[in-house]
Amino acid sequence: MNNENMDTGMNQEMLARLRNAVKSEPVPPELQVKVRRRIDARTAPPRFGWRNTWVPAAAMLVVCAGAAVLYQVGRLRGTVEDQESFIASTLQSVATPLKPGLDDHIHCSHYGRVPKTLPGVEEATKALPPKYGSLLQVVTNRAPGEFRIYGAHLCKRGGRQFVHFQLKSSRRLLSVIVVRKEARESFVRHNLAPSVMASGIPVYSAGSRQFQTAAIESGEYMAYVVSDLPAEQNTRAMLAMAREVSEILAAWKS
Amino acid sequence: MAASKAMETWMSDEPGRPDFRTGHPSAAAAADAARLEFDAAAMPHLNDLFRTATRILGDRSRAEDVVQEVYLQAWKSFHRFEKGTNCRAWLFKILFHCVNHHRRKWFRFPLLKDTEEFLESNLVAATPIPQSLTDGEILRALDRLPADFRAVVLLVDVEEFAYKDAAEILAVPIGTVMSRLSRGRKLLREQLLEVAQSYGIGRAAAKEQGA
Repeated sequence: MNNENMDTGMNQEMLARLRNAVKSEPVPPELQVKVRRRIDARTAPPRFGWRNTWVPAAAMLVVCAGAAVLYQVGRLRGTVEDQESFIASTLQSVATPLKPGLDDHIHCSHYGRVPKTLPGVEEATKALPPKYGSLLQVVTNRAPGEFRIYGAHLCKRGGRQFVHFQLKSSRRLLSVIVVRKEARESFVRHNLAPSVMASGIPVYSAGSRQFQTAAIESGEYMAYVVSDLPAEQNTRAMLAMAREVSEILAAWKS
Repeated sequence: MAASKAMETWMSDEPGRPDFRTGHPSAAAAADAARLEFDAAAMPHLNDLFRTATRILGDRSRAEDVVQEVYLQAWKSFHRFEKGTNCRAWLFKILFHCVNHHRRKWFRFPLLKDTEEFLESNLVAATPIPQSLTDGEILRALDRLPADFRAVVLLVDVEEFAYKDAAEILAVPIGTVMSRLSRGRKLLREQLLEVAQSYGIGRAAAKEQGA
């Protein structure tokens, strides 16, 4: 009996009558079975645990986000058409004279085969005609320290021939590319402002997506350093080799 | 105090113990143990919960539904229930939570304001209650009480919860419990007296007291 609850409103006997009356209500015999069944149904499939619901959902979200990022940086472009579409959209935002080098880098290096273990310089450059040896030497000597050459070749892209040196570090790719200028093709003629001068040589820079391009022109040629380095480091890479490359290209002219 | 602790664990998201409701094989054994523990702690109160739900809702089939839901909710939250606290009060707290939910869904109970007005016009001086009333008549009188008063009378007078526990179960201040109980009891007594008088029982006593 709950004595603290007693007041003058109801006597003990009446409370007992009330309690008995309520307790006389029959309880359905199957109720306990129903309750147990509902709990069993809730317990049996483990799908209700938050780990089994939210973890896969979160994992799926991460995968989707990762796929979206990879697609945006061009890594999930499987077909040639997709790759060309990516290249075209990347080139849109850079000045015309900068496009050839960027185009060749994405085509040959970004979408090309990159060896996991680096070959020796001789093996890497065996496809390169000997007359480009001096250029090769400048590239190997002046490229940023963490980059090693894994390929050097002549390639054709859009009807133009390129001399292409391919280098890689642990996580990044860098290209040094030389191409003969077409008629009236010039940074000066396109009124581009150089981003920096190196020994009196103007260096022109631009970035698009994850790619940075730095370029010089010398006589009948244009030379590019293209990489996925930060803009400043990419320009610095070009500055390091600009004078020597310029001299070599000037000599080709003569 | 124990009841408060139990009810806090139900209302809170803070885990008291590891959540055994996962699909890991190691969790299966823990779930079995927890189920046994739950059965031992919660199942003995099934009949009380059903009877209270029936009186509150006035419908046995709805009461069955609500009680099943109460146990399901309790099972889902049982990993947060702390052993040694008042499981019965915890279950009643869940019951009234479910009942309030169903009230909104099924029908509108009189609000307290209506109840107060009802009381003003019905409360009379205390008179002795005849002893010859049947259980059915007592239950009908109880069922005629406004829901708020009925709930307090059921919790305190029938289920014998302390004022403090009843206040926590109903989520109202303790003073409200006391005033609702007092008014509920008076109203119940009046209802019972009316029934008795309709049979000609107790009129003489009432008249004597009135005189």
